[in-house]
Amino acid sequence: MKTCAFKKKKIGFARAYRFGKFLRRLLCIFLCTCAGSYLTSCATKGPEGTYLKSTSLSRISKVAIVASVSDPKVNYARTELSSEMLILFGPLGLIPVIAEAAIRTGADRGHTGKVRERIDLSHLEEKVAQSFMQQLQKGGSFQTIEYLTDKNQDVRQLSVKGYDAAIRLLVREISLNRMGGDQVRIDVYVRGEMEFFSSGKVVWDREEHVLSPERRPLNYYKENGLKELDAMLEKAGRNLAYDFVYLK
Amino acid sequence: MKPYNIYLFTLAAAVAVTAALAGCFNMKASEISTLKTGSPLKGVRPKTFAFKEFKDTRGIDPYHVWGGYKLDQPAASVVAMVIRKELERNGHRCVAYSAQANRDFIIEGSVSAYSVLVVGVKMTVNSVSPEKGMITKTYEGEVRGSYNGYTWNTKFNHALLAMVKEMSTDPDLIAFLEK
Repeated sequence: MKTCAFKKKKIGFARAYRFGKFLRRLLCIFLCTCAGSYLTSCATKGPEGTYLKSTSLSRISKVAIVASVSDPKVNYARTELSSEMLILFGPLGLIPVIAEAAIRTGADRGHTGKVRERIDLSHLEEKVAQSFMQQLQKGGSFQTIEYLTDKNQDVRQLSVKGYDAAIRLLVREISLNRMGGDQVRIDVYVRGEMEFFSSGKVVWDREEHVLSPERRPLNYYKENGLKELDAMLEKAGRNLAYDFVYLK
Repeated sequence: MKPYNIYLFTLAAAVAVTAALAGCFNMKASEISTLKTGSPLKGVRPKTFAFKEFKDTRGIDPYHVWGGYKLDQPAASVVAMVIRKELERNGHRCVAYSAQANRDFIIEGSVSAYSVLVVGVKMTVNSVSPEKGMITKTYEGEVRGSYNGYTWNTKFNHALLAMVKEMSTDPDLIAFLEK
């Protein structure tokens, strides 16, 4: 009897030990996952760029400016779900919202086509480049600044022509974003990059994000869209040029 | 392993996880970086700005940002601090407001948004010389799509810096300061 009880007790301890070991492993995995995610999330750096230093421009006197624009994009049907609808009707409340979003998507697709037809991309390229150059000329950052309409010239061709560096301005995104209902905002992202030919290094590389000041109905942009876009591109070009003009 | 050791281990693990999560959900104002871009504020002759205490008009807990995220200082103080840093970065002097303090301008502000990816402030700059008057502007910073994949802390930081950049590159403000 005694032996049997002892055996039972021993088996109980063994189980507890195994369970403890399992629990410990589980906790270890959990802790490692938590620590890992904590370290990666808190250590992630933001979208950094390459910023100019006072020495960056010392040997640059003649600069070529090249601008290009990507096709405009429309982020349609970003309809915000009504929380009241969800509370009142549960998942069924979503149906009219989804249907409405689908209708709007179709309407926006048609509108995107019209926007593309109406926008002259070369006009936008010129707009951002002129605004950028205007500030550079005011600041007297370089002896010669020239805007090149031929974007296909490579580094060797530009070097032969006597340029020390090239500044490339890329309007990488123009997007119309629905903010809920009929309210729309425009986002413009312009990337600026400067390559110094003799070292082959990119000495300046950063992005400027300009957001339309207000949310407005889509109809407003049908009339005033291009005017708004021009103002936004001007602002982006100007803000990028400030890096050169007010160099530390 | 003895049973009480398992309990101790569980307790230690719980403490460690809580500490880790608390670290992530608390945003330290001291960790907010400054802009590295050029600003026309640098072209303005150095001025002295006296800062009055900024108000928080959001009507919520002044430390609250969004969800479980909290600041270690009131949002209004953080916004005032980043504006102050930006002015100092561009060669200006900033002091706390007092009736006796020497200054060219007095800055007042109220934070209208410090939430999910948006930071907004309504700022008034009063000149000490009455003929120059004052200027009131609202500056907003927002973070959008291109920041996908970044942490909330980074996004909030960028929204704040976007707001500061709006202020720092505002032609109206620059013209007012240069008057």
